[in-house]
Amino acid sequence: MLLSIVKFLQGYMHVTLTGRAKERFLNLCCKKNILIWNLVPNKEAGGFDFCISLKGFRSSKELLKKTHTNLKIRKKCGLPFLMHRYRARKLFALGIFLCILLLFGCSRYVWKIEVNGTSSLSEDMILTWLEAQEKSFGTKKSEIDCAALEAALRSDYDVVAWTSVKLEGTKLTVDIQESLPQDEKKADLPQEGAWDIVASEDATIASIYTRQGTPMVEKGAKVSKGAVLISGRLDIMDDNGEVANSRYVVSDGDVTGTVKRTWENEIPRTYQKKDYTGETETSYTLQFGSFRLPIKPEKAAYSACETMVKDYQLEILKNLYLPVHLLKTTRKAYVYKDATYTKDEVEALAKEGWESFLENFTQKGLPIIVKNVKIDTDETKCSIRGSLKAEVPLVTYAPTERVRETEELQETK
Amino acid sequence: MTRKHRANKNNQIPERGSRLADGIGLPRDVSCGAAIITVSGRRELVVENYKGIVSYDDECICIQTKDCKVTVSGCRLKVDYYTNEEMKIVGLIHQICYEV
Repeated sequence: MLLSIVKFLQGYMHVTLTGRAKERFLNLCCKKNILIWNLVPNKEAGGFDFCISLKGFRSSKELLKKTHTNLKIRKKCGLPFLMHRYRARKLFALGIFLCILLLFGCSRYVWKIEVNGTSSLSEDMILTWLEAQEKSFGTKKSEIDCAALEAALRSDYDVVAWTSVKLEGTKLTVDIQESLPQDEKKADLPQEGAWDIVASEDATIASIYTRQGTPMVEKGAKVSKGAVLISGRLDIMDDNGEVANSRYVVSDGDVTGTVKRTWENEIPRTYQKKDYTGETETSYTLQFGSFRLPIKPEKAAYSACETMVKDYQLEILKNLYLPVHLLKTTRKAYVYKDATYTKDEVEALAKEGWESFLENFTQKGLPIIVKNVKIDTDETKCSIRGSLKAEVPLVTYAPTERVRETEELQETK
Repeated sequence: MTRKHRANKNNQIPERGSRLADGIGLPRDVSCGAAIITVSGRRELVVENYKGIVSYDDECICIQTKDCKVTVSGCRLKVDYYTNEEMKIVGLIHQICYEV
């Protein structure tokens, strides 16, 4: 491959050798270091066909005379011949040179950013963050420190457990692995002091596991919001069974309670339906950076239409993107029409809402103990009422009330 | 000295040289300028240490080396490249023959 490029750059010719001492000519070429390749006998001409470099051809004239042979040029290949052929088109060559220069200049900047692996964070959030860091579209590649960006991303977003930022061609790829939601709760735990675990809402205790602190309730007990579940005070008893001393800790444990949740919704049977008229129009716009050039502009004016824009970015080689976009805009015209849901349709819609309500629990892994749902459909509307009992975590933190301090306060009064 | 005697003497010199080279373990291509012929399967042959092409057509290529002629016969023979150092012959090779 490399040899072919060198041969092309230097220029070569396909020639036919005829005459008396053809083999001698070949041997003399060999002695003079003139490279010959693709040597085949030519029976029609009674000689040999081969390829010879331009430089070799020029220096073989003396050998031709000496060996009484002739060289007939069949084809000229390579850059020197191309340049000679197009010598009158200097501006064309200049244009090619400027184009190469522009491509080289563009390849030193970032023109595409790809964000992968986000779930709670959105791609727009990451792009805005990159913009704030001045590492967005059009930033010089030499100014981007991938390791520093990774560290900054991890420190700015606690939810980011792992990240990788890499530059390939003119594309910046940000891969993110987010941490699980349980890790967030652990981060909210108070580190020191005296803290109670209190009920976050009215519930019946379903389970209580204490790791640190004094449990104040038992399984099956009914508690109201704010009731202390695990106290942050550890009483030290003496031999008489009286409190000798108290130690205060950050209470720790898991407490779940059975709670009742209700959900209701009402869906009217009549609604406004999108009725597509069948009229569609596609327009194309070429975008260079922030400059837009319409190639096929929009003509039709629709009162209401659905617009879909597809962005095709110019990629001349793999991951070598340029700031040139082709925007394909498709518009579908529609009008609103009054329509009525059938009984099955409206009930399916109502059930869909109920299922999405249940998903709030199932996604978090909260067990649902009992669920009831009732759907009433009449001529005008569909009503859905549902209730369920689920086990939810009740843990919230409140500062522990210190007994001695209150006693002392009472004494001073 | 007659022509016959002179020829005998010339033949003896490489004999002595080769024996000496064998004695000190020198490769023959370095000591005697022997041709190196590398054949890959039936379709490729590389010749080094040759003097030149004696005759060439697409069925037979005769190459002059220092001490003998090497004739390569086959069909659709083609010289892929031909330099001062080596030459590469491609095609279907039937036989390689050494002629003194």
